[in-house]
Amino acid sequence: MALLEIKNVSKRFGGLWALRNVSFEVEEGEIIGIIGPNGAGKTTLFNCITGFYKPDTGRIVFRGEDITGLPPYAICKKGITRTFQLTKAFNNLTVFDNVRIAALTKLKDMKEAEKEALNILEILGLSDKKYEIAGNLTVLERKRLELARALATKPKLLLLDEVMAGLKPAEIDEILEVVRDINKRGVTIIIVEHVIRAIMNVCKRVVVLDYGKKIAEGPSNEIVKDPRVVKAYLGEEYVA
Amino acid sequence: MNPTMIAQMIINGILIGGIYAVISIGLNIIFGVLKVINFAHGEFLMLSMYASYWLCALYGLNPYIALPLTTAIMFVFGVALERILIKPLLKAPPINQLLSTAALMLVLQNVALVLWHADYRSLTIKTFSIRLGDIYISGHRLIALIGALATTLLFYYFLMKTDTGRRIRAVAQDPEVSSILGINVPLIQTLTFGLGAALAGIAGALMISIYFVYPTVGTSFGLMAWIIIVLGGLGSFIGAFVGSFIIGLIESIAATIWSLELAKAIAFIVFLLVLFFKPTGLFGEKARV
Amino acid sequence: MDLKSLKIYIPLIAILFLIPLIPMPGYVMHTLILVFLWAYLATAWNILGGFAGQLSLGHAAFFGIAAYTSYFMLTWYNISPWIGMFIGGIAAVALSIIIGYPCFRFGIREVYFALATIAFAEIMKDIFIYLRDITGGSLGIWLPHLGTNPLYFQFEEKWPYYYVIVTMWLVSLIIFKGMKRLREYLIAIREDEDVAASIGINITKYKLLALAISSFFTGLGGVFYFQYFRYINPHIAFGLETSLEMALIAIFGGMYSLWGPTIGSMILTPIAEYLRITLGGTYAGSHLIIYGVLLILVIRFLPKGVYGFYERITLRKLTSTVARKGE
Repeated sequence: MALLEIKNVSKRFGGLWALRNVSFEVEEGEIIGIIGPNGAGKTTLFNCITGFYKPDTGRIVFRGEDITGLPPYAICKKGITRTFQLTKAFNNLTVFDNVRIAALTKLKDMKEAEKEALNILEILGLSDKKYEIAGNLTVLERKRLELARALATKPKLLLLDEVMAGLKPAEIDEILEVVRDINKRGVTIIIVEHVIRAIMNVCKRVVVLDYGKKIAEGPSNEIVKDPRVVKAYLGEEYVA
Repeated sequence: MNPTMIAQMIINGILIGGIYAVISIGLNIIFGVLKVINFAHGEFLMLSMYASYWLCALYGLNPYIALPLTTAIMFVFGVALERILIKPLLKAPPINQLLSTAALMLVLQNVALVLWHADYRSLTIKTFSIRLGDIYISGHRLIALIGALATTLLFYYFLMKTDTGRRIRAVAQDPEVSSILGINVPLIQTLTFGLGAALAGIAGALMISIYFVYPTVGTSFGLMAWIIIVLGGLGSFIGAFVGSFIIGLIESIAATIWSLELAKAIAFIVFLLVLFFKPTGLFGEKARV
Repeated sequence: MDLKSLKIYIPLIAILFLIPLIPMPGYVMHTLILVFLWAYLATAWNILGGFAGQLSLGHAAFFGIAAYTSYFMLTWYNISPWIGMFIGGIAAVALSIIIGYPCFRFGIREVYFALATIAFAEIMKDIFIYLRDITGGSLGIWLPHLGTNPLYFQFEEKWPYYYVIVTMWLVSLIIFKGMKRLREYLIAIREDEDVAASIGINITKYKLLALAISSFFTGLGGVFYFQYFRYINPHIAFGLETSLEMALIAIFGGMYSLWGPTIGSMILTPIAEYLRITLGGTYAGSHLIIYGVLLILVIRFLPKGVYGFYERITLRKLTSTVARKGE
């Protein structure tokens, strides 16, 4: 049984269908990518999975349980955590507090949460920034913080929404390393990305959305050459 | 309940609605252009009533004759207030605006209390009524309604047909674009706030012949004005106008059937229902916040 | 609570409890009682306002309903106000759920939430004025005079009231200090609701919890107020002025810490009482001019309140549960 099953999910806003009968499955332990031009519905899909939107049709099944329409906090408790496209954090709290509070929701004990937070900050390379105010971090550090916070909730499935956006090539490599590391720890990952190089490097499988519909699905090295996909990205540079 | 009572009820509702209209339109234009939550608007009304009162009590003027002067005083007051207090608030989060103007409300109310004491004052004005069959229409209320309608029409004309009015509407729609187009946005903001205060000034001048003036007279009108513009749709001129009469009628009906206090409570309940189910109000577009 | 802080706190608490032994004029004791009463009320308000970030401007609704409930328990069923206090607190909680659940469920936030709370308080006020046969209407109600009757929460002297309010203040602070996890969740909600939801915090549940706790303690304060002043009317009980005072004192003192509201009251309440004494009854409310101006200044220049400012100038290391805003 697949870890996550998206079955015929649709979402409309007024007269516009942002998602139309999207279906695919995610196996446990894999890193799968979701690509598509701007406005294809990628973030909408994430919002539907994580409870920020309610799908108009279809089901979302996680570990055999129907989680469609559950509120965001419940989704997190079930084991799915997301990051945000425009990095969000508790901007006025310290890096340490950001991660600690996330750990607290899972561990319930204050001391345990503190230990766990310090651990995770170590893994993400943020230890020396732990008393820095989150709002003062650089873009790369904020991305690390998002990942740290997500990790603190002990997810089974992690949804990364354009986590590479705005990063320089060297920074992209750094984050990719972290993503691989998280995956090795047993976390299944879905990445929404524009940076094709990132997808190629880390995802075995890719789902392609365009105008809210799934237009292709398959191994990443094949998908990128698929004429339908190239057509959807018409005008966009392919960065090898 | 007989037809006479019903007719009286409706007429009273319309009369009070007119007064609400002048107050709400002022509040609405301030919110529409400056996007500022002005919680002290009721106190502009109160100050205007006191200004009217003192001009008339000390110099023997008739409040309607003194109306232009009262309005001018309130305009100047509004402009000064905008420069000192409101300008810095424009960039602040809305909740800060609410708190600051609520604090201003407390200050104005209590300055009035210290200066003029809590006594209920009114001008010795001859009251008169117009009689239509069994229905009595209070003369001064009718004058207030006529004044309110005239003011609304004039203001509408001003907004739609004059250059300045167009500039005001432009800034209400989009301050940045207006600025790029060469409109002096800060000046328009100051002007609009002054106009909002002036409109409250007109309302006060009309009301002094109907109501007693005391330091807290403005609070309930101020709150009603907020209810009305949320009901009508924040920023919508038509909404504020129509909303005023809707609330006026609700109040009048409820006050006749039960009591005035329940009438106010019902108005607040209507407000809550609008807030929960249709926060954009009757005529509004996108809800703010 | 570690040993070092205990060494500081215990002597301070002892001093607090020894103060009534010092001979002092009645108005000084009266001022002290009010300082702690408003500190207590502002602290209770702040659980919702400062920690959860939901600024309620209608908190008097809870204050008032508890006071009237306790009165009815006393006059209808001869129940002592000590018990009536808790019944009143429960009534306040019930009211808070009625107000809070629709608001939080419908995602009413910030300005709209503040307006909604004002509306609720005004509705309560209007209803209580309307039901004048039961509630005495605008004229208000007087506590039946029982002389010194400790079992029925009445004393001819002022000092017993002092001990009661100081105890209430102290106990509530200890309780709030102990709710560490709840405070963290509330701070998370305040800082960013979306992020808080995405890490598993049930926003509606915790907002309601904060509201219930806040309203319960506010209610107890309302009963104390009534027992001490022996008079209340719907304008005091449910009025915008009362609600604004609670919020104002907390914001002025510093919304982002447990101590802020107390600091706020310690500064503002004596000013208010001084004005009341020197200017007399005809100028009742003159203190609000000062309060209002101070609030405007604090919002503009010291968003973290007096306590936040103190923290900034002494450069105290952030403890995990205190947030800084606007740095």
